[in-house]
Amino acid sequence: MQRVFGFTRNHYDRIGHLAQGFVPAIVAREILIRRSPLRAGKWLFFIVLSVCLAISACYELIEWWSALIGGSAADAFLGTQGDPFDTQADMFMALIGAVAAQVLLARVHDRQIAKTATESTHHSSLTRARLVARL
Amino acid sequence: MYQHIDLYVNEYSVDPEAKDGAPWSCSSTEPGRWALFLRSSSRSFLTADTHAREVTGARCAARSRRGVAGLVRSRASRSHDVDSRSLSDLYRRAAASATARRFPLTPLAYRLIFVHALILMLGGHYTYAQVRSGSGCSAYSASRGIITIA
Repeated sequence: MQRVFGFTRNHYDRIGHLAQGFVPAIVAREILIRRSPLRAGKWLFFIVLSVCLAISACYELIEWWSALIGGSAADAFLGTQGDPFDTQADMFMALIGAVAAQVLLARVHDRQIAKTATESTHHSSLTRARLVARL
Repeated sequence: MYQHIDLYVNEYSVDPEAKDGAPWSCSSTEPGRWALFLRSSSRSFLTADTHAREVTGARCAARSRRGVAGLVRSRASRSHDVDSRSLSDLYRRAAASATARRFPLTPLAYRLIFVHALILMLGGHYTYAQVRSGSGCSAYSASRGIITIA
């Protein structure tokens, strides 16, 4: 990979962080659409992005703590690989992942959610209980 | 006028005026306000209570004064616009909602989680800095005077 792109480091770690934004974005999106009043739109996009960045930030905290505990041995696991801005780059990858997931998969995801919603309505008393507020 | 329907699962509330065998009944508790009782078998399990929107704040405050349980219930009712359930039911749902049986996610979500798991396992097996697809380049890096852990 480095050879191909002329990178100075191993970027598998970056793929991991991309996934760390990409995958939670869809899960967060799904839970918010199905369990909150939020609907697909700018606010959903922003909040899903925020959730993913928060998860990424928490992971960076864990990286930091394990580095403190494990000392230099942690470096290989962390994949900081001598990069002082590794944390920022990791979170940036998560951000790109979260944006990409929402841009690329929103339509497919909405379709699948609509399908699951109709399937699960009859065995969810919760959904049934939401007899809508306005008279 | 907008009205709120407050829904809460309440196993102990039974409509005193209900006719035997009716699946639901409706009683007016005071002018402009009524309660709906839904029944499974012999017991009422769901009560719905309508009242004017303005009343909601006062009701929430009254509930929260009744202690932590009341507070949680009033929070729940506000966050869901209308929906409040008994505390035990909330806990039960919170504990179980992570399972696929109770809250099945879409196939897309499960597929992505699977791929993510693969990425994590690959990273865990070789350690992130040394995964094959990305390495094989220590010589290249060294030749450029760059020190990498791999």
